Amino acid sequence: MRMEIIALIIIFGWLIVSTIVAIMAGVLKKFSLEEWTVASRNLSFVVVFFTLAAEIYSAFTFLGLAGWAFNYGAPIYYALAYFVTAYSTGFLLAPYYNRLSRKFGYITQPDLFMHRYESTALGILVAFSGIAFLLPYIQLQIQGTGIIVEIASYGAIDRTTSILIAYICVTIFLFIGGYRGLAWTNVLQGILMFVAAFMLFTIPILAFGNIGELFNRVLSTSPAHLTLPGAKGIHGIPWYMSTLTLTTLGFWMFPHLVSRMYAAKSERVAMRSCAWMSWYSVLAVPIVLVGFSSLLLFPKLPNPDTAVMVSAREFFPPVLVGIIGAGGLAAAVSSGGSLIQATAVLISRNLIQRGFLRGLSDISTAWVARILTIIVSVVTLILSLYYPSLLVNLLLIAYSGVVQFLPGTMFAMLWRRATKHGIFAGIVVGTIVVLLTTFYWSNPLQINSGIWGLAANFPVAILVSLLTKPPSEETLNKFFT
Amino acid sequence: MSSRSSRERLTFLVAVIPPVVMIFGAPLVMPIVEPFVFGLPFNLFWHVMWLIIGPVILTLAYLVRTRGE
Repeated sequence: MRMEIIALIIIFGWLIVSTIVAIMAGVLKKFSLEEWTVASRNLSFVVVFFTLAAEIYSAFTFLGLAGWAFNYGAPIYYALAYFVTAYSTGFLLAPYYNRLSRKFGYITQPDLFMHRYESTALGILVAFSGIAFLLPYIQLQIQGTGIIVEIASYGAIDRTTSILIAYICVTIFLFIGGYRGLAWTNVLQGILMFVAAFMLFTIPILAFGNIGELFNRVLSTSPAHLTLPGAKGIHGIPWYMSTLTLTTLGFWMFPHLVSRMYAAKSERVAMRSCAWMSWYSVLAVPIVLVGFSSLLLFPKLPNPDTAVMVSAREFFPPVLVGIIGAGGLAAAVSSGGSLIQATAVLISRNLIQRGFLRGLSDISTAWVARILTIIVSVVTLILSLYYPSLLVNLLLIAYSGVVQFLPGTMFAMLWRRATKHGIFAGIVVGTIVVLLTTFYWSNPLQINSGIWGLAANFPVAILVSLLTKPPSEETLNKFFT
Repeated sequence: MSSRSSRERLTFLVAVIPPVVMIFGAPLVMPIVEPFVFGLPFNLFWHVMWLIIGPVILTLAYLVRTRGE
C-alpha cells in the first residue's frame, strides 16, 4: 500500500472514531442548555484533566513550539514555564469559579460579571471582547490543521480539503455531542499524545545519539539559541518575565477555559486537575527538542512551524507518521472545537438571551447555540481560507486583551466596593493601552503590552469604583458570606 | 470559619511558589547554559524540573486546602 494512503487511513480513522465517540456521548444525555454547554457540571477528574490537557496541546503547541525553538531558541522556554505557573493560577481560581457557577447557575464567563456587578452592559462588553479574541485562535487551529494533515499525508491531500473534512466532523460532533462530546474527544487526544510525544522524543536520539550531543552541536553552531535574548536578539529578560506574568494571569481569563472549571463536578476535581496538569505538560518537551534538532538537520527549512511533521517524515515509516499526524490533528481540532463552542455559547447566552432577546427560554437558547456552532464554523473557515491574515492583529493582542478581565474577576470575589462603572472603565482603558503599546509603541521597555494594559486597568478600576455606587447589599451578600 | 480562611491563606502562599520562583528567578537562571544536566542546557533543565516539582507543590497546597473537609 502506498505510504500516503497508510498515513491518511490512520489520520482520518482517528477523526471518525472521535466523531462517533463525541456523538455517542451527546445522544446518551437529555438535551438542555446546561448539558450542552457545561455537561451538566458533572465531569469527573479524568475527563476534566484531559480537557485541560487538550488546552495545552493545541495546534500552536504541536507546530509553534518547535517553530519558536527553531527560530528563536531559548525564548520558547516561557511556554514550558507557563505550563507550570498558569496552573498555579488555575488552582487558586478553580474552586471559586466552580463554586459560583454551581451556586448561581453560570454557564459563561460574562454571567459572573453581569450578576456580580448588576450590569448587562458589562456582561455584553466582556462577551464581545471574549468573542473578538477567540476568533483568531479558531483561525489558528484551522490553519494548523491544514499544515499537519498536508505534510502527514505526504501531500496526498491538500490543506483546504483536509480543513473542510476535519471541520465538518467537528461541527457535527459539537452540534450533537455538545461540551460532553468535546470532552470525550479530549480524552482520546490525551491518550494519543502520550504515544506521539514518546515517538517525537526519539527523533533527537536517532539523529544525534543523545540529547547532550544535540545541545553540544547547537552550542557550537548557534549559541544564541540557548539563552536570552534568543537567536534574533529581541526577547530579553524583561520580555520573558512580563510575558510569563501575562500568560500566568491571562490563561484563566479566556472564556472557554472558565467553562472548563464550571463543568467539573466539584471544587476538588477542578483543583486536583490543575494541580497535576504540569506533569502532563512534560509531553511538550519533546516538541521543543525536535525544534532544536531541526535547526541542525534542516537549517534551510522554509516554514519552521513544519519542523515536527518534516522531522517525523524523515525518521519514521508512514504508520508512525500517520499516528503523529493524527496526534497533531487531534490537538488542532479539539482546541478549535472548544473555541467554536465557547464562541457560540457566548453569543447565544450573553448577547442574545441576556442581551438583545431577553425572555428567550433556556432550551431555545441551547438550540440557538447549536445553530451558531455551524455559523461560527463556516465563518471562521471562510476567513481562514480566503482572508487568512484578516485576524492576525487580533491574535497579537488576544492574551493582552483577555487579561484585562483580571481586575473584574479578582474584585468580584475579593473587594465589595468594586462597581460596574469601575470594572467597565478599567477594561476599556486597559484595552486602549494594549492597542497603543502593541501597534503604536510596541512593548515599551520590552515589557509585554498586556502588562501595560493592566498597569492602567487596575488604578482606573479602583478609582472609578470608589467614586461610583456599588452593587446592592443583597447581591454583595451572596458573594461575601 | 477562621480555620478555613487560614487554610485558604496558607494554600495561596504555597500555590504561588511556582510562579514567584519561575518569574523572579528568570534573571538568575536564564543566562546559565552550562553545565548541562541530563544532556539539557541548565536553563532548559530548570524548566523541565519545574514541570515535575510544580505539581508536587500544588498537591501539597491541595492537601492543605482540603484537610479536614
